[in-house]
Amino acid sequence: MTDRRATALIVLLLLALPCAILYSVSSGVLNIPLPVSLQALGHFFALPVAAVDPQQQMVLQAIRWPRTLMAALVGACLAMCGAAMQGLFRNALADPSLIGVSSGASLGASIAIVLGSTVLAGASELLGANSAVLTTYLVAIMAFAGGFIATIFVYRLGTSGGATSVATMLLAGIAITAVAGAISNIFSFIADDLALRRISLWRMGSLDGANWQQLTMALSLIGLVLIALPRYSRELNALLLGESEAGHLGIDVQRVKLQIIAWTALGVGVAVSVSGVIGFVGLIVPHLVRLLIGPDHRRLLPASALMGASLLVVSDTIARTVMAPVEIPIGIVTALLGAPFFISLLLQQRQKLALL
Amino acid sequence: MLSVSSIDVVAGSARLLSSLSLTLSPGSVTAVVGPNGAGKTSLLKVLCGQLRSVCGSVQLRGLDLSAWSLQERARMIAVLPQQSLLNFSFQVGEVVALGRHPHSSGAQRDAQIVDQALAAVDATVLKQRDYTTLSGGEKQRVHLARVLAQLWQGEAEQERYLLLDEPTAALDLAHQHMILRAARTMAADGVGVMVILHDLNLAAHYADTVVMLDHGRIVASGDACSVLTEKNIEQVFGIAVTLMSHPQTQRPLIIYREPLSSAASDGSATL
Repeated sequence: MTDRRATALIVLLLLALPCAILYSVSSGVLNIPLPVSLQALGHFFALPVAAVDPQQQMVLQAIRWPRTLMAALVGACLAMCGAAMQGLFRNALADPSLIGVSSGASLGASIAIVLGSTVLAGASELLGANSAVLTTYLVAIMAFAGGFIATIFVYRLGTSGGATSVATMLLAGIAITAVAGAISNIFSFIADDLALRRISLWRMGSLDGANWQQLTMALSLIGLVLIALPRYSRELNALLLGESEAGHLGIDVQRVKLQIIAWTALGVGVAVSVSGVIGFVGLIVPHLVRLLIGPDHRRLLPASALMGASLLVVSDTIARTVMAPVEIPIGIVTALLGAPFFISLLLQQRQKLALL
Repeated sequence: MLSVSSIDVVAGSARLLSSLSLTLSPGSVTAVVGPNGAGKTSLLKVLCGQLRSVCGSVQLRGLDLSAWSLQERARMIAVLPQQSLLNFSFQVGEVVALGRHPHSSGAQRDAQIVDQALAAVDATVLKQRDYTTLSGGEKQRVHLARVLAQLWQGEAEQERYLLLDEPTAALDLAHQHMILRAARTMAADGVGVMVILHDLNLAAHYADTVVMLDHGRIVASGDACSVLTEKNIEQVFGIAVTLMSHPQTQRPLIIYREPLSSAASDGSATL
């Protein structure tokens, strides 16, 4: 029965994602009919289709398509990484940020933004480059580096004598998050008003500024993560029994743990570096999928990725359109959309449990 | 054969096991008894490779345990823990299927084995149930089915061992006997079984060999009559007992003696 439900859900999500993407590229300040959106994409890839209105072509090609595809990619990555972390920590409330990657990335981004507004402004005059562009790249690189370094710290703190304790890692994650948060706040404190605003907006997440170049880079790295993590499905299932039981089933627990953490750090690091911190997707999507089709990771991981992609595409559309022409940060949308939905699910679940 | 010879296990400054040797042979049930902290669980962990001894050796079919890959080991040695940490709502059938992880026998064969293992522990009706809603006894039965599935006789005849760590600790009387009968059935099928037990009467009733541990050493080992003696039990557990003979099996039946005075509990009241 679970099998059939899982298949049904995955088919449904496979249908929903293209619909969400098409809806997203067609809506915005400039409303563009669906067929035109597809035509513009075809035109961009030099397919033999008629050219569309140059202004529409420009908006679609330079802004909407890369941005929407980036939303799908980031959503899929965050949700799948969240599912893997919840499995690894044997806790349905775990989140990719537990291993310190988000807070480390925030710190890296804060440093980049503050330095970018002062040091880079001078350097860009010498190089003749646009300082805003330089800062964007610096933020992405520093965020990625910060996320990775924080994860390494958390992992090292949780490991002693060749064995990693997930409970210690959880506590270390909290400590590293606090330290990184405090240092980030120092940078916020010394930042000027403009930099401060950028920092706080970055922490709420946004997909503006996504372009094809960035998308290609993100796709190549996140693509690897999306292929790699499902290969650990059976190991993650066994790990839910407990680490020693997984060991008795012939799994090299330490190696699997390290690899899953590394893939997650890579995935979340890239996602955060291109879109800032987008909370809630990594927590709520796997949880929701698990309630619907059970905890088997062979189905949970792909279904979570598909649902995360759709959710983030829809959230980004709302973020762009609800207060148009002003854009609101996507993190606000994911939290406002996700939380009530999540609470209603929990209440349903509680009733079900009370009946048993 | 799965055996340890003169192993020492140390944790910090504490010596958990010292120069201990033990052999488990296919087809027999070995019960390990002893007070808390005697080293029973450490012994089990060494046998399944979870804990390393500083000296001595652990051998499986004549080879050092570490010479086997983790997967090969898992096909030959299964462990049933006292309690499982599982708190995700798998269906019962899915939990049992996890036992097939070390094998690559194909989905169809695995599904058959899952059904047979569930039937063997009388839990077929639970197959579609949500694991998290089961009672403690039902959960333990499901995990027993999981380790049965792990050791299910495959095409290649090979030695198999089942290690049970206080499997009856949280169970009612009927379930305690159900688990140990299942262990006996496994032994009859050629599996070498080691079970850690606190209840000496259960050990006397079900084991071919009883091993009594204290302070990381073997105090006595052999058949139930020779190990579970009044003297040994009093020396190791500090409890005064009288032994009778079980009217049907002639195995020892342990009866706790009424303390003669308040000093009896510390063992000084032996007259």
